[in-house]
Order: sequence, then structure tokens, then C-alpha cells
Amino acid sequence: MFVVKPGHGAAARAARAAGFGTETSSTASIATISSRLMHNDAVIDAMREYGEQFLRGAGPTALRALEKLILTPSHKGHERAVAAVVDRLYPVETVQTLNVRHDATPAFRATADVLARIAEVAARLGIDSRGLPPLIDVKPEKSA
Amino acid sequence: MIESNKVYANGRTYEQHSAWLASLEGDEKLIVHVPIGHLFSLAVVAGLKWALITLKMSAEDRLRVLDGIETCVYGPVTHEALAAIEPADEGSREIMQEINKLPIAKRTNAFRDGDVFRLLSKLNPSLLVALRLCA
Repeated sequence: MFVVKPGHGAAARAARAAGFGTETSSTASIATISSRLMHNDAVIDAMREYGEQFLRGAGPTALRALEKLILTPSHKGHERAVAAVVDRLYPVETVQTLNVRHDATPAFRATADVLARIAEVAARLGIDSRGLPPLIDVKPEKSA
Repeated sequence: MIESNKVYANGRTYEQHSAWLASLEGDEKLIVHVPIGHLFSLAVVAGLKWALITLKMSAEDRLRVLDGIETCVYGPVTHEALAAIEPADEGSREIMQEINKLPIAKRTNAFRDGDVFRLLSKLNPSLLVALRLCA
């Protein structure tokens, strides 16, 4: 997949290059075989593994191309290349303030969910929750 | 070996006890044969229902009590049986308060040795209704 001509039929070409099918296999047969291969977990894992190796190995080449771009002011990608390098050398500093408020008071919030659950369990147990005494509104006390 | 003239259970010899068990019918038979732990649970549920309809409590406590009642649904004890139980009356509550003063291991034994469930069911007949639904 990484060496055959990309585009339509690439998977079929890769399958044929890998030795699948026979010399007389029709295009449709190879297409079927390649489709199965492209959905095979082992093949997918192998392509990912090779792709990662390829990316790591392509680093020096990419950097050389970037250097060439930086040294060629007339190139249309020159400005973007310079900006990319500057961004990585002197990244823009941002300050983020994150406030996390955790309410851990002993009071149990009588939310609608809790009240609904009380009514549900009470009904299962033959208790009419409407006839129960009013709930105590528990408020947390300030420590001295 | 069981000796015929010795007390076997509740002042009865083995033969007397066997004859007594064989003579039981209906609710009496249920009370004897349902495990005492379940009888205890039914009595406790009646007490908890009294607390629910009488005492003011927070949503947390109310949910905790309801969840506690639901934990009694086990084996033969069903939701239907628990739903049939009416809240305990004053007499039943006093009996249960006395029983709860005992060590934990002896509380359920009171339901076997002291015939407590029969007494409670006379004060709160819904316990017998619940027991029938358990069987």
C-alpha cells in the first residue's frame, strides 16, 4: 500500500504485488481479495506499524524540505514555513484559570432525581410518598 | 440419640414437638417454617414504615430508610410482601424496642423462642398477610 501507485485500485495493486491471486486472476477477483485484506485486522495492524515507522523515518527529509522553504523567500510556502518554526521556538503563552468548586457538604441535595427515586422506591414498597411528612431542609453549618 | 422423656423444644419432648409440628396449619405452619430472619425482617419493615410516615427527616435519610427496606427483599420475601405491611403500632414498636436492646445474635432468636412474630401479628395483622405472600 505504501509503494504502489495511489488512488483507485491501489489496494488491488498492492494485493497483486504481495502475491495474492494468480497470474490469471481477473481484476474482479483481485478486487475481492484486496477488499477482504483491507478489512483484515492483521493487515490493518501491519499498515499502522509500517506507517508509524515511515513517519518517524521521514523526519529528517521533512526537516530538510522545511529548511529549503525557509531559505527560499520567493517560494509561496515560505511565510508559513517561517511561522511554523517561530511558533515552535517561541510558542504563544496563554494563561488559563480553572476554578473547580466541589460541594462536599454533608447536606444531601434534595434534587428532583432524589425525590423521584424516593417516590419510585416508596411506591414499590406500598408507601404513598405524598402522605409522608415534609422533608427537613438540611443546611450546612459554618465552622466556628 | 433423642430420649423420649427429655425436653426437646419449648418444654415439649421430641414426640410432643413432632406431633405439634404435624398439627400446625395455615398461618401457624408458615410462622414455624419460614426462617426467623425473614420474620424479623418483616417486623423491622413495619417499624421502618412507622418511622417514614411519622418522623420528619432529610431526603437523604428517607432514601436511606427506603433502600434499607428494599434490602429485605431476599429469597421468599418479595416487594409485594413488603408492600402489604402496614406501619407498626405503638405496642409493636415497644416490643421491637425491647428486642433491639438484646445482643444482635439474640434478636432473631426471640422470634423462634419467644413466639414474638405471633404476638406482633396479632397487633399488626398485615404481617400475616405479608407472610402469606412470602410463601
